[in-house]
Amino acid sequence: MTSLASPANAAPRDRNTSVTALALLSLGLLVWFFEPLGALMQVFVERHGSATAALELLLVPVGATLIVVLRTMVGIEGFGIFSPLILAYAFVRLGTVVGLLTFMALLLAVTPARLLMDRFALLSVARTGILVAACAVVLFALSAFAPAYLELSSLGLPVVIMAGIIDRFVTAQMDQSTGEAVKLSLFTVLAAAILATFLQWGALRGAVAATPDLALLSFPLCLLVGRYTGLRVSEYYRFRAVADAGSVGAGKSGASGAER
Amino acid sequence: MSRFAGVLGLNRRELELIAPKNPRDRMIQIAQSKVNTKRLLEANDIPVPKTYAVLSTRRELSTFAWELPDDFALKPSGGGRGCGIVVMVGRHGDGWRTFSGRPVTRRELAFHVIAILTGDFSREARSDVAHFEQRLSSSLDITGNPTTGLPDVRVIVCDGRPLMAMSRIPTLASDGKANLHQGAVGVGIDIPTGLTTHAVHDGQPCTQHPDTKHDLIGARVPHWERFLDLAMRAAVLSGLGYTGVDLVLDDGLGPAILEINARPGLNIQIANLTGLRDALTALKVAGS
Repeated sequence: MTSLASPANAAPRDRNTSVTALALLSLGLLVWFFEPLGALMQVFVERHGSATAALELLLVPVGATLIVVLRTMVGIEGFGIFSPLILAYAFVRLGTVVGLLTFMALLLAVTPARLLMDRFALLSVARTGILVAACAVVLFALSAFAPAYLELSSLGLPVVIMAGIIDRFVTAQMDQSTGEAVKLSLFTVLAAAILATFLQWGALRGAVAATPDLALLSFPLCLLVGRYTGLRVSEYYRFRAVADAGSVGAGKSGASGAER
Repeated sequence: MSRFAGVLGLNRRELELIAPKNPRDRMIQIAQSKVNTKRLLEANDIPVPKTYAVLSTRRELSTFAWELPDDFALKPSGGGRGCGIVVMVGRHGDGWRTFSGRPVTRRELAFHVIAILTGDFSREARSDVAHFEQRLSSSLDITGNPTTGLPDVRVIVCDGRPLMAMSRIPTLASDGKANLHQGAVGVGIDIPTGLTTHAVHDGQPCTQHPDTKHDLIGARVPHWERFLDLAMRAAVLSGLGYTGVDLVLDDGLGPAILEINARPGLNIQIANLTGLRDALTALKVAGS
Protein backbone atom coordinates (compact mmCIF):
# COMPACT_ATOMS: atom_id res chain seq x y z
CA MET A 1 0.00 0.00 0.00
CA THR A 2 2.77 2.36 0.87
CA SER A 3 5.05 1.26 -1.93
CA LEU A 4 4.20 4.10 -4.27
CA ALA A 5 7.59 3.68 -5.91
CA SER A 6 8.63 6.64 -7.98
CA PRO A 7 9.60 4.81 -11.22
CA ALA A 8 5.97 3.69 -11.61
CA ASN A 9 4.53 7.22 -11.61
CA ALA A 10 7.49 8.85 -13.31
CA ALA A 11 6.49 7.96 -16.87
CA PRO A 12 2.90 9.35 -16.97
CA ARG A 13 4.01 12.48 -15.11
CA ASP A 14 6.72 13.15 -17.69
CA ARG A 15 4.27 12.65 -20.57
CA ASN A 16 1.79 15.05 -18.95
CA THR A 17 4.57 17.55 -18.61
CA SER A 18 5.57 17.46 -22.28
CA VAL A 19 1.93 17.73 -23.40
CA THR A 20 1.48 20.72 -21.09
CA ALA A 21 4.72 22.28 -22.31
CA LEU A 22 3.57 21.94 -25.94
CA ALA A 23 0.19 23.48 -25.17
CA LEU A 24 1.87 26.37 -23.36
CA LEU A 25 4.31 26.90 -26.20
CA SER A 26 1.49 27.20 -28.76
CA LEU A 27 -0.39 29.54 -26.42
CA GLY A 28 2.77 31.62 -26.11
CA LEU A 29 3.10 31.83 -29.89
CA LEU A 30 -0.52 32.97 -30.19
CA VAL A 31 0.11 35.68 -27.61
CA TRP A 32 3.28 36.67 -29.47
CA PHE A 33 1.35 37.17 -32.73
CA PHE A 34 -1.84 38.75 -31.46
CA GLU A 35 -0.72 40.59 -28.30
CA PRO A 36 -4.18 40.36 -26.65
CA LEU A 37 -3.27 42.45 -23.63
CA GLY A 38 -1.77 45.09 -25.92
CA ALA A 39 -5.08 45.33 -27.76
CA LEU A 40 -6.96 45.53 -24.45
CA MET A 41 -4.62 48.26 -23.31
CA GLN A 42 -5.49 50.34 -26.38
CA VAL A 43 -9.19 49.98 -25.58
CA PHE A 44 -8.46 50.92 -21.97
CA VAL A 45 -6.54 54.06 -22.95
CA GLU A 46 -9.25 55.10 -25.41
CA ARG A 47 -11.96 54.81 -22.76
CA HIS A 48 -10.10 56.09 -19.69
CA GLY A 49 -7.59 58.46 -21.19
CA SER A 50 -4.46 57.12 -19.41
CA ALA A 51 -2.74 53.80 -18.83
CA THR A 52 -1.63 54.39 -15.22
CA ALA A 53 -4.40 52.46 -13.46
CA ALA A 54 -4.08 49.57 -15.90
CA LEU A 55 -0.33 49.49 -15.37
CA GLU A 56 -0.80 49.00 -11.62
CA LEU A 57 -2.99 45.96 -12.31
CA LEU A 58 -0.57 44.53 -14.85
CA LEU A 59 2.27 44.81 -12.35
CA VAL A 60 0.44 42.51 -9.90
CA PRO A 61 1.39 39.32 -11.81
CA VAL A 62 4.98 40.58 -12.01
CA GLY A 63 5.04 41.14 -8.23
CA ALA A 64 3.45 37.76 -7.51
CA THR A 65 6.04 36.03 -9.68
CA LEU A 66 8.86 37.81 -7.88
CA ILE A 67 7.50 36.68 -4.50
CA VAL A 68 7.32 33.10 -5.79
CA VAL A 69 10.96 33.33 -6.92
CA LEU A 70 12.06 34.89 -3.62
CA ARG A 71 10.38 32.07 -1.68
CA THR A 72 11.29 28.99 -3.72
CA MET A 73 14.70 29.94 -5.07
CA VAL A 74 16.16 32.45 -2.64
CA GLY A 75 14.39 31.25 0.49
CA ILE A 76 13.05 34.60 1.72
CA GLU A 77 9.96 33.11 3.30
CA GLY A 78 7.82 35.38 5.43
CA PHE A 79 4.16 35.20 6.36
CA GLY A 80 2.58 33.80 3.20
CA ILE A 81 2.47 35.41 -0.22
CA PHE A 82 -0.27 38.02 0.27
CA SER A 83 1.29 39.83 3.21
CA PRO A 84 4.49 40.89 1.41
CA LEU A 85 2.55 41.69 -1.76
CA ILE A 86 0.09 44.06 -0.10
CA LEU A 87 2.74 45.52 2.18
CA ALA A 88 4.74 46.24 -0.97
CA TYR A 89 1.82 48.28 -2.31
CA ALA A 90 1.76 50.28 0.92
CA PHE A 91 5.49 50.87 0.45
CA VAL A 92 4.96 51.92 -3.17
CA ARG A 93 2.38 54.48 -2.13
CA LEU A 94 4.45 55.85 0.76
CA GLY A 95 7.91 55.34 -0.61
CA THR A 96 9.89 52.40 0.73
CA VAL A 97 11.73 54.26 3.49
CA VAL A 98 8.68 56.04 4.90
CA GLY A 99 6.71 52.81 4.57
CA LEU A 100 9.35 50.92 6.55
CA LEU A 101 9.45 53.65 9.22
CA THR A 102 5.65 53.62 9.50
CA PHE A 103 5.66 49.87 9.87
CA MET A 104 8.34 50.00 12.58
CA ALA A 105 6.42 52.72 14.41
CA LEU A 106 3.28 50.60 14.30
CA LEU A 107 5.16 47.56 15.55
CA LEU A 108 6.56 49.53 18.49
CA ALA A 109 3.31 51.31 19.31
CA VAL A 110 1.26 48.13 19.23
CA THR A 111 3.60 46.30 21.60
CA PRO A 112 1.87 47.73 24.72
CA ALA A 113 -1.47 46.46 23.36
CA ARG A 114 0.13 43.07 22.86
CA LEU A 115 1.52 43.00 26.39
CA LEU A 116 -1.89 43.97 27.71
CA MET A 117 -3.46 41.09 25.82
CA ASP A 118 -1.00 38.64 27.35
CA ARG A 119 -2.52 39.57 30.69
CA PHE A 120 -6.04 38.59 29.68
CA ALA A 121 -6.49 35.20 28.10
CA LEU A 122 -8.20 36.15 24.84
CA LEU A 123 -9.48 34.16 21.91
CA SER A 124 -7.37 34.83 18.84
CA VAL A 125 -10.15 36.55 16.86
CA ALA A 126 -10.63 39.11 19.63
CA ARG A 127 -6.86 39.60 19.78
CA THR A 128 -6.72 40.28 16.04
CA GLY A 129 -9.61 42.72 16.34
CA ILE A 130 -7.79 44.69 19.02
CA LEU A 131 -4.58 44.76 16.98
CA VAL A 132 -6.33 46.07 13.86
CA ALA A 133 -8.07 48.74 15.93
CA ALA A 134 -4.83 49.74 17.69
CA CYS A 135 -2.94 49.95 14.38
CA ALA A 136 -5.60 52.20 12.86
CA VAL A 137 -5.60 54.52 15.90
CA VAL A 138 -1.81 54.74 15.97
CA LEU A 139 -1.67 55.43 12.25
CA PHE A 140 -4.32 58.11 12.66
CA ALA A 141 -2.21 59.78 15.32
CA LEU A 142 0.87 59.58 13.09
CA SER A 143 -0.92 60.97 10.05
CA ALA A 144 -2.10 64.01 12.03
CA PHE A 145 1.54 65.08 12.35
CA ALA A 146 2.86 63.78 9.04
CA PRO A 147 3.53 66.14 6.11
CA ALA A 148 0.51 66.43 3.82
CA TYR A 149 2.14 64.78 0.79
CA LEU A 150 2.55 61.46 2.60
CA GLU A 151 -1.09 60.32 2.35
CA LEU A 152 -0.75 58.17 5.47
CA SER A 153 -4.48 58.23 5.99
CA SER A 154 -5.23 56.56 2.65
CA LEU A 155 -3.70 53.36 3.95
CA GLY A 156 -6.90 51.56 4.99
CA LEU A 157 -6.16 48.21 3.42
CA PRO A 158 -2.42 48.12 4.12
CA VAL A 159 -3.20 48.89 7.78
CA VAL A 160 -5.21 45.69 7.95
CA ILE A 161 -2.28 43.81 6.44
CA MET A 162 0.25 45.41 8.78
CA ALA A 163 -1.99 44.48 11.71
CA GLY A 164 -2.19 40.99 10.26
CA ILE A 165 1.61 40.73 10.14
CA ILE A 166 1.84 42.02 13.71
CA ASP A 167 -0.77 39.46 14.77
CA ARG A 168 1.16 36.65 13.14
CA PHE A 169 4.29 38.01 14.76
CA VAL A 170 2.56 37.72 18.15
CA THR A 171 1.30 34.20 17.39
CA ALA A 172 4.72 33.07 16.19
CA GLN A 173 6.25 34.54 19.32
CA MET A 174 3.91 32.51 21.53
CA ASP A 175 4.01 29.26 19.56
CA GLN A 176 7.60 29.12 18.47
CA SER A 177 10.05 31.67 19.76
CA THR A 178 10.78 35.36 19.59
CA GLY A 179 13.74 34.74 17.31
CA GLU A 180 11.62 32.82 14.84
CA ALA A 181 8.90 35.49 14.96
CA VAL A 182 11.40 38.28 14.33
CA LYS A 183 12.93 36.29 11.47
CA LEU A 184 9.56 35.70 9.78
CA SER A 185 8.54 39.37 10.17
CA LEU A 186 11.90 40.61 8.90
CA PHE A 187 11.63 38.34 5.86
CA THR A 188 8.10 39.59 5.19
CA VAL A 189 9.23 43.20 5.34
CA LEU A 190 12.39 42.45 3.35
CA ALA A 191 10.40 40.71 0.60
CA ALA A 192 7.97 43.65 0.54
CA ALA A 193 10.81 46.18 0.33
CA ILE A 194 12.52 44.29 -2.51
CA LEU A 195 9.18 44.05 -4.28
CA ALA A 196 8.36 47.73 -3.77
CA THR A 197 11.73 48.77 -5.20
CA PHE A 198 11.24 46.45 -8.16
CA LEU A 199 7.70 47.69 -8.88
CA GLN A 200 8.89 51.31 -8.89
CA TRP A 201 11.74 50.54 -11.27
CA GLY A 202 11.25 52.80 -14.29
CA ALA A 203 12.59 50.35 -16.86
CA LEU A 204 10.18 47.65 -15.74
CA ARG A 205 7.19 50.00 -15.69
CA GLY A 206 8.12 51.31 -19.13
CA ALA A 207 8.48 47.81 -20.57
CA VAL A 208 5.13 46.61 -19.22
CA ALA A 209 3.43 49.82 -20.33
CA ALA A 210 4.82 49.44 -23.87
CA THR A 211 4.22 45.67 -24.07
CA PRO A 212 1.43 44.73 -21.64
CA ASP A 213 1.63 41.10 -22.76
CA LEU A 214 4.89 40.77 -20.81
CA ALA A 215 2.66 40.31 -17.74
CA LEU A 216 1.55 36.99 -19.20
CA LEU A 217 5.12 35.69 -18.81
CA SER A 218 4.20 35.20 -15.14
CA PHE A 219 2.34 32.02 -15.99
CA PRO A 220 5.16 30.05 -17.63
CA LEU A 221 7.65 31.49 -15.12
CA CYS A 222 5.59 30.35 -12.12
CA LEU A 223 5.12 26.95 -13.76
CA LEU A 224 8.87 26.57 -14.17
CA VAL A 225 9.71 27.82 -10.69
CA GLY A 226 6.97 25.62 -9.23
CA ARG A 227 8.88 22.56 -10.45
CA TYR A 228 12.28 23.71 -9.21
CA THR A 229 13.71 21.00 -6.95
CA GLY A 230 17.11 22.54 -6.24
CA LEU A 231 18.23 24.06 -2.98
CA ARG A 232 17.21 27.57 -2.04
CA VAL A 233 20.03 30.08 -1.59
CA SER A 234 19.22 30.15 2.13
CA GLU A 235 19.59 26.36 2.33
CA TYR A 236 23.22 26.56 1.20
CA TYR A 237 23.77 28.47 4.43
CA ARG A 238 21.43 26.36 6.59
CA PHE A 239 23.01 23.03 5.60
CA ARG A 240 26.62 24.18 5.27
CA ALA A 241 27.69 21.86 8.14
CA VAL A 242 26.20 18.84 6.32
CA ALA A 243 28.02 19.76 3.10
CA ASP A 244 31.33 20.27 4.94
CA ALA A 245 31.00 16.90 6.67
CA GLY A 246 30.13 15.20 3.38
CA SER A 247 33.19 16.55 1.57
CA VAL A 248 35.53 15.31 4.31
CA GLY A 249 34.21 11.75 3.98
CA ALA A 250 34.20 12.04 0.16
CA GLY A 251 30.91 10.18 -0.15
CA LYS A 252 31.27 9.09 -3.77
CA SER A 253 28.89 6.18 -3.40
CA GLY A 254 25.79 7.30 -1.55
CA ALA A 255 25.94 4.25 0.71
CA SER A 256 29.01 5.36 2.61
CA GLY A 257 27.28 8.65 3.34
CA ALA A 258 24.49 6.92 5.21
CA GLU A 259 26.71 4.56 7.17
CA ARG A 260 28.23 7.36 9.14
CA MET B 1 28.04 23.17 -5.21
CA SER B 2 28.34 19.41 -5.64
CA ARG B 3 29.10 19.24 -1.92
CA PHE B 4 25.41 19.91 -1.50
CA ALA B 5 24.27 17.17 -3.90
CA GLY B 6 23.28 14.86 -1.05
CA VAL B 7 21.32 17.48 0.86
CA LEU B 8 17.53 17.48 0.61
CA GLY B 9 15.89 20.91 0.37
CA LEU B 10 12.31 22.02 0.96
CA ASN B 11 11.47 22.19 -2.76
CA ARG B 12 12.59 18.64 -3.51
CA ARG B 13 10.99 17.26 -0.34
CA GLU B 14 7.67 18.69 -1.51
CA LEU B 15 7.85 17.64 -5.18
CA GLU B 16 9.65 14.32 -5.03
CA LEU B 17 8.71 12.84 -1.65
CA ILE B 18 5.54 14.31 -0.19
CA ALA B 19 3.57 14.87 -3.42
CA PRO B 20 4.06 11.36 -4.82
CA LYS B 21 4.17 9.38 -1.56
CA ASN B 22 1.67 11.06 0.76
CA PRO B 23 -1.93 10.99 -0.48
CA ARG B 24 -3.60 14.30 0.29
CA ASP B 25 -6.64 12.89 2.09
CA ARG B 26 -4.47 10.73 4.36
CA MET B 27 -2.26 13.73 5.18
CA ILE B 28 -5.29 15.78 6.14
CA GLN B 29 -6.65 12.99 8.33
CA ILE B 30 -3.34 12.49 10.10
CA ALA B 31 -2.73 16.21 10.58
CA GLN B 32 -6.26 17.10 11.64
CA SER B 33 -6.89 14.41 14.18
CA LYS B 34 -4.30 13.28 16.65
CA VAL B 35 -7.16 11.60 18.50
CA ASN B 36 -8.05 9.38 15.53
CA THR B 37 -4.40 8.65 14.74
CA LYS B 38 -3.92 7.55 18.34
CA ARG B 39 -6.98 5.29 18.16
CA LEU B 40 -5.64 3.67 15.01
CA LEU B 41 -2.26 2.99 16.64
CA GLU B 42 -3.84 1.78 19.89
CA ALA B 43 -6.02 -0.70 18.00
CA ASN B 44 -2.81 -2.15 16.57
CA ASP B 45 -1.12 -2.61 19.97
CA ILE B 46 1.26 0.30 19.54
CA PRO B 47 1.84 2.11 22.84
CA VAL B 48 0.52 5.68 22.82
CA PRO B 49 -0.38 8.06 25.67
CA LYS B 50 -3.74 7.05 27.18
CA THR B 51 -6.67 9.33 26.28
CA TYR B 52 -8.49 10.54 29.41
CA ALA B 53 -11.20 12.63 27.80
CA VAL B 54 -12.16 14.12 24.42
CA LEU B 55 -14.17 17.34 24.28
CA SER B 56 -15.61 18.38 20.93
CA THR B 57 -18.34 20.88 21.87
CA ARG B 58 -18.89 23.59 24.48
CA ARG B 59 -21.83 21.57 25.82
CA GLU B 60 -19.51 18.64 26.52
CA LEU B 61 -17.21 21.09 28.30
CA SER B 62 -20.00 22.49 30.51
CA THR B 63 -20.97 18.98 31.69
CA PHE B 64 -17.35 17.79 32.00
CA ALA B 65 -16.67 16.40 35.51
CA TRP B 66 -12.92 17.29 35.54
CA GLU B 67 -12.04 13.85 36.86
CA LEU B 68 -8.42 13.96 35.83
CA PRO B 69 -5.27 12.52 37.36
CA ASP B 70 -2.55 14.65 39.01
CA ASP B 71 -0.64 15.06 35.77
CA PHE B 72 -1.85 15.15 32.17
CA ALA B 73 -1.47 16.98 28.87
CA LEU B 74 -4.22 19.03 27.21
CA LYS B 75 -3.83 19.15 23.43
CA PRO B 76 -5.67 20.31 20.34
CA SER B 77 -6.39 17.37 18.08
CA GLY B 78 -5.47 19.24 14.91
CA GLY B 79 -2.66 21.58 15.96
CA GLY B 80 0.79 21.39 14.47
CA ARG B 81 4.33 22.20 15.66
CA GLY B 82 3.36 21.72 19.31
CA CYS B 83 0.97 24.71 19.30
CA GLY B 84 -1.64 24.90 22.02
CA ILE B 85 -0.31 22.07 24.19
CA VAL B 86 -0.39 22.63 27.96
CA VAL B 87 1.07 20.13 30.40
CA MET B 88 0.12 19.81 34.09
CA VAL B 89 2.62 18.05 36.30
CA GLY B 90 0.88 18.01 39.70
CA ARG B 91 -1.96 19.26 41.92
CA HIS B 92 -2.22 22.76 43.33
CA GLY B 93 -5.26 23.31 45.52
CA ASP B 94 -8.36 22.80 43.40
CA GLY B 95 -6.36 22.94 40.21
CA TRP B 96 -2.99 21.90 38.85
CA ARG B 97 0.44 23.38 38.24
CA THR B 98 2.74 23.53 35.23
CA PHE B 99 6.32 22.37 34.81
CA SER B 100 7.59 25.77 35.92
CA GLY B 101 5.32 25.70 39.01
CA ARG B 102 2.65 28.16 37.85
CA PRO B 103 -0.75 27.25 39.33
CA VAL B 104 -3.55 26.73 36.79
CA THR B 105 -7.19 26.73 37.83
CA ARG B 106 -10.02 24.73 36.30
CA ARG B 107 -11.43 27.94 34.89
CA GLU B 108 -8.19 28.69 33.04
CA LEU B 109 -8.10 25.15 31.66
CA ALA B 110 -11.73 25.48 30.55
CA PHE B 111 -10.81 28.70 28.80
CA HIS B 112 -7.95 26.94 27.04
CA VAL B 113 -10.37 24.21 25.94
CA ILE B 114 -12.65 26.90 24.45
CA ALA B 115 -9.67 28.41 22.64
CA ILE B 116 -8.91 24.96 21.19
CA LEU B 117 -12.55 24.34 20.19
CA THR B 118 -12.70 27.77 18.50
CA GLY B 119 -9.71 26.81 16.38
CA ASP B 120 -7.06 29.13 17.82
CA PHE B 121 -4.40 26.44 17.34
CA SER B 122 -5.58 24.61 14.24
CA ARG B 123 -4.67 25.34 10.64
CA GLU B 124 -6.83 28.04 9.07
CA ALA B 125 -8.66 28.52 12.39
CA ARG B 126 -10.85 25.48 11.72
CA SER B 127 -12.87 24.43 14.77
CA ASP B 128 -11.05 21.69 16.60
CA VAL B 129 -11.34 18.99 19.26
CA ALA B 130 -9.58 19.12 22.64
CA HIS B 131 -8.29 16.05 24.39
CA PHE B 132 -6.76 15.27 27.75
CA GLU B 133 -4.12 12.58 27.66
CA GLN B 134 -1.56 10.79 29.79
CA ARG B 135 1.61 12.84 30.37
CA LEU B 136 4.59 10.86 29.14
CA SER B 137 7.82 11.46 31.01
CA SER B 138 11.38 10.29 30.83
CA SER B 139 13.84 10.96 33.59
CA LEU B 140 16.79 9.92 31.41
CA ASP B 141 17.65 11.01 27.88
CA ILE B 142 18.75 8.46 25.25
CA THR B 143 22.39 8.79 26.29
CA GLY B 144 21.40 7.67 29.79
CA ASN B 145 21.82 11.04 31.49
CA PRO B 146 19.23 12.82 33.63
CA THR B 147 17.13 15.32 31.72
CA THR B 148 14.49 17.95 32.26
CA GLY B 149 11.57 18.25 29.88
CA LEU B 150 10.73 15.52 27.43
CA PRO B 151 13.41 14.37 24.97
CA ASP B 152 12.05 12.59 21.91
CA VAL B 153 13.23 10.32 19.10
CA ARG B 154 12.35 11.17 15.53
CA VAL B 155 12.55 8.46 12.89
CA ILE B 156 11.96 9.32 9.24
CA VAL B 157 10.36 6.35 7.52
CA CYS B 158 10.29 6.12 3.73
CA ASP B 159 8.22 3.41 2.04
CA GLY B 160 8.10 1.42 5.28
CA ARG B 161 11.85 1.52 5.96
CA PRO B 162 13.73 3.77 8.39
CA LEU B 163 15.68 6.45 6.52
CA MET B 164 17.23 8.64 9.22
CA ALA B 165 16.87 9.11 12.96
CA MET B 166 17.71 11.61 15.67
CA SER B 167 16.89 12.45 19.25
CA ARG B 168 16.02 15.95 20.40
CA ILE B 169 17.15 16.71 23.93
CA PRO B 170 15.75 19.80 25.69
CA THR B 171 18.06 22.40 27.21
CA LEU B 172 17.55 25.24 29.66
CA ALA B 173 17.40 27.54 26.64
CA SER B 174 14.65 25.49 25.01
CA ASP B 175 12.61 25.62 28.24
CA GLY B 176 11.98 21.89 28.32
CA LYS B 177 10.83 21.82 24.71
CA ALA B 178 12.28 19.34 22.26
CA ASN B 179 12.35 21.74 19.34
CA LEU B 180 15.64 22.40 17.56
CA HIS B 181 15.00 26.02 16.63
CA GLN B 182 13.99 26.75 20.21
CA GLY B 183 17.42 25.61 21.38
CA ALA B 184 17.12 21.86 21.93
CA VAL B 185 20.12 19.67 21.03
CA GLY B 186 19.72 17.34 18.04
CA VAL B 187 21.61 14.05 18.25
CA GLY B 188 21.97 11.90 15.15
CA ILE B 189 21.43 8.14 15.56
CA ASP B 190 22.96 5.49 13.31
CA ILE B 191 20.02 3.32 12.25
CA PRO B 192 21.67 -0.14 12.05
CA THR B 193 23.52 0.11 15.39
CA GLY B 194 21.47 2.56 17.45
CA LEU B 195 24.64 4.49 18.36
CA THR B 196 24.60 8.29 18.57
CA THR B 197 26.88 9.78 15.91
CA HIS B 198 26.81 13.60 15.87
CA ALA B 199 25.14 16.40 17.76
CA VAL B 200 24.06 19.87 16.80
CA HIS B 201 23.07 22.87 18.90
CA ASP B 202 21.87 26.17 17.42
CA GLY B 203 22.97 25.03 13.96
CA GLN B 204 26.54 24.26 15.10
CA PRO B 205 28.03 20.78 15.57
CA CYS B 206 28.82 19.96 19.23
CA THR B 207 29.80 16.93 21.30
CA GLN B 208 28.49 17.82 24.77
CA HIS B 209 25.13 18.82 26.21
CA PRO B 210 25.31 22.63 26.63
CA ASP B 211 23.93 22.59 30.23
CA THR B 212 25.06 19.34 31.82
CA LYS B 213 28.25 18.92 29.70
CA HIS B 214 27.76 15.18 29.41
CA ASP B 215 28.96 13.47 26.24
CA LEU B 216 26.38 12.99 23.54
CA ILE B 217 28.33 10.92 21.02
CA GLY B 218 28.81 7.16 20.96
CA ALA B 219 25.98 6.27 23.35
CA ARG B 220 23.78 3.25 22.65
CA VAL B 221 20.09 4.14 22.52
CA PRO B 222 18.17 1.78 24.82
CA HIS B 223 15.42 -0.36 23.22
CA TRP B 224 16.58 0.78 19.77
CA GLU B 225 15.08 -2.22 17.95
CA ARG B 226 11.74 -1.52 19.59
CA PHE B 227 11.91 2.19 18.59
CA LEU B 228 12.52 1.23 14.95
CA ASP B 229 9.86 -1.47 14.94
CA LEU B 230 7.21 0.89 16.37
CA ALA B 231 8.15 3.70 13.98
CA MET B 232 7.96 1.45 10.93
CA ARG B 233 4.64 -0.10 11.96
CA ALA B 234 3.11 3.30 12.73
CA ALA B 235 4.31 4.73 9.42
CA VAL B 236 2.78 1.85 7.45
CA LEU B 237 -0.50 2.16 9.40
CA SER B 238 -0.64 5.89 8.64
CA GLY B 239 -0.93 5.12 4.93
CA LEU B 240 1.77 7.71 4.19
CA GLY B 241 4.92 6.85 2.28
CA TYR B 242 7.14 9.55 3.81
CA THR B 243 6.69 10.38 7.49
CA GLY B 244 8.51 11.53 10.58
CA VAL B 245 7.44 9.43 13.57
CA ASP B 246 8.00 11.03 16.98
CA LEU B 247 8.57 8.65 19.90
CA VAL B 248 9.34 9.01 23.57
CA LEU B 249 11.11 6.68 25.99
CA ASP B 250 8.47 6.80 28.74
CA ASP B 251 9.55 5.70 32.24
CA GLY B 252 6.52 3.43 32.52
CA LEU B 253 5.54 2.46 28.99
CA GLY B 254 8.99 2.24 27.41
CA PRO B 255 9.12 3.43 23.79
CA ALA B 256 5.76 5.00 22.85
CA ILE B 257 4.53 7.05 19.92
CA LEU B 258 3.67 10.72 20.41
CA GLU B 259 2.90 11.87 16.91
CA ILE B 260 3.19 11.16 13.19
CA ASN B 261 4.29 14.03 10.94
CA ALA B 262 3.29 14.06 7.29
CA ARG B 263 5.80 16.80 6.46
CA PRO B 264 8.89 16.07 8.58
CA GLY B 265 11.51 18.81 8.87
CA LEU B 266 14.96 18.84 7.33
CA ASN B 267 17.09 19.68 10.37
CA ILE B 268 17.58 15.96 10.98
CA GLN B 269 20.27 16.23 8.26
CA ILE B 270 22.27 18.61 10.43
CA ALA B 271 21.99 16.35 13.48
CA ASN B 272 23.31 13.45 11.39
CA LEU B 273 25.70 15.53 9.27
CA THR B 274 24.32 13.49 6.38
CA GLY B 275 22.05 14.54 3.55
CA LEU B 276 18.68 12.84 3.16
CA ARG B 277 19.26 12.41 -0.57
CA ASP B 278 22.41 10.42 0.20
CA ALA B 279 20.39 8.34 2.66
CA LEU B 280 17.66 7.76 0.05
CA THR B 281 20.26 6.58 -2.46
CA ALA B 282 21.69 4.20 0.14
CA LEU B 283 18.21 2.88 0.90
CA LYS B 284 17.60 2.21 -2.80
CA VAL B 285 20.96 0.45 -3.17
CA ALA B 286 20.28 -1.71 -0.12
CA GLY B 287 16.76 -2.50 -1.33
CA SER B 288 17.59 -3.69 -4.86
